[in-house]
Amino acid sequence: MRLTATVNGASIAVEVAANARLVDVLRDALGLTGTKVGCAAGECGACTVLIDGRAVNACLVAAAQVEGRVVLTVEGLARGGELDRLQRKFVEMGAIQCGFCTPGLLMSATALLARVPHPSRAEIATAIAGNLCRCTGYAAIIEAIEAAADEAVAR
Amino acid sequence: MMSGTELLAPRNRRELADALRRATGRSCLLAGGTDWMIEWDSSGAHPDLLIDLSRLEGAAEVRTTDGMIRVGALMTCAQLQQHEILLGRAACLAQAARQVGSLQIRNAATIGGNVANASPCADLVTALVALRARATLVAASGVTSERPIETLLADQGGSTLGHDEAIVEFSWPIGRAGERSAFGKIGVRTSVAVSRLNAALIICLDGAGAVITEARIAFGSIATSAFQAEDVAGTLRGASIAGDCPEAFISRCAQLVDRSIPSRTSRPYKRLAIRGLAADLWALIGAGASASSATPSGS
Repeated sequence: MRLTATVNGASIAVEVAANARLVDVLRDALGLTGTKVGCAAGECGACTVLIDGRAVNACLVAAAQVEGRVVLTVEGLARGGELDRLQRKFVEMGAIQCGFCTPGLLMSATALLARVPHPSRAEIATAIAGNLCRCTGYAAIIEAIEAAADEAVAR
Repeated sequence: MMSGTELLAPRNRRELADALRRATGRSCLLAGGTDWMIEWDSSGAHPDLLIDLSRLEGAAEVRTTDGMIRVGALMTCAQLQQHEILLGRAACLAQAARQVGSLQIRNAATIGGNVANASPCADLVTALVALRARATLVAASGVTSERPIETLLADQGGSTLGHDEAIVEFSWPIGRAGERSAFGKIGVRTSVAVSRLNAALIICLDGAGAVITEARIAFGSIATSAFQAEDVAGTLRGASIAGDCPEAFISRCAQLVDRSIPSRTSRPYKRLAIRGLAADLWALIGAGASASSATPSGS
């Protein structure tokens, strides 16, 4: 089938198998390899993307169901080569080590801050509960999200 | 990627029936995909037909009509957990939805899919059993029928749904004044946890709001499917909502585990853990808790 959707602000049209996974279409057909495949079972969150503003596991989404929808991946965060606020805070505050979980965490955090501009720690924890990190212990990640929220509110 | 799979995306019940007429035992119905996409990936199965239910009009709504609450099968857990009708009238279902998986899962997983997948630990199923919900099905013949939720759950686990049937809605009577409900689960962690035990409790209080006059309770993740336990619920009738959790209630919950899974290796753990679950439910019910105050219990 021919899939048409908006990905990172651009209209796309690709041929996909009827039951292709969204993560495979993003990575293989569109070359957007920022979205990672970790567990392929919706447990690690490495494949988190936003569909119509909602965080989902791309490994569990049939690409066909994205027809006509708006998808945002980690590649869509930066603008004109400039990292967005969340990305900068992750870098500045040591919230990245191996980096494999980072795209998914950035997307979960992006979805959160769009809904809740100044979230509590509990709200941050709920938002990223579906994103596993084996490196950082999460403290720096939570602090980076808080810092990004604080900076956005301060402006 | 799989080739050779036809895709149909019905937009209404008539088109759904048309699609179901073409379904075979190798066909799949796809709602949120959070169960099926994993099965497909691990089994390597090639469905001959994929019926995408996500475009079905009117299937992602909650409404009240004729004294009934009606929940469309495509309502996601994220939508269920914050819907004001459910928060006010069926808190156990909203609380159950809030405790399913992660936020990413809740944004995609549907109530219809949770029932159709019929996992023994399905959280929404337990709440629906307690609510005495009925499922509205569309068949390939075009006939729409209603069935009690328990009839969709096979005795040995899994679903009794035929390959040419689809769930489109769930319904149950709006509760009476003074009715409260709560849902609790125990998993190996506080979030993103498969239930090792879950339960949904519904009570009705007397006019003074002090004494429990009626109670219903359903349990999941004990037997192969969720079930109501009348004898356990009976221990709550006459109890003061302001008092401590009745010991008879707690004890009867433990006895329930003993008789339900007498030879299962998890019995010693579950007969102890269910006492904590009973206490959690009592605390939630006593607080008249809304879905927003419910948190999953760790093991």
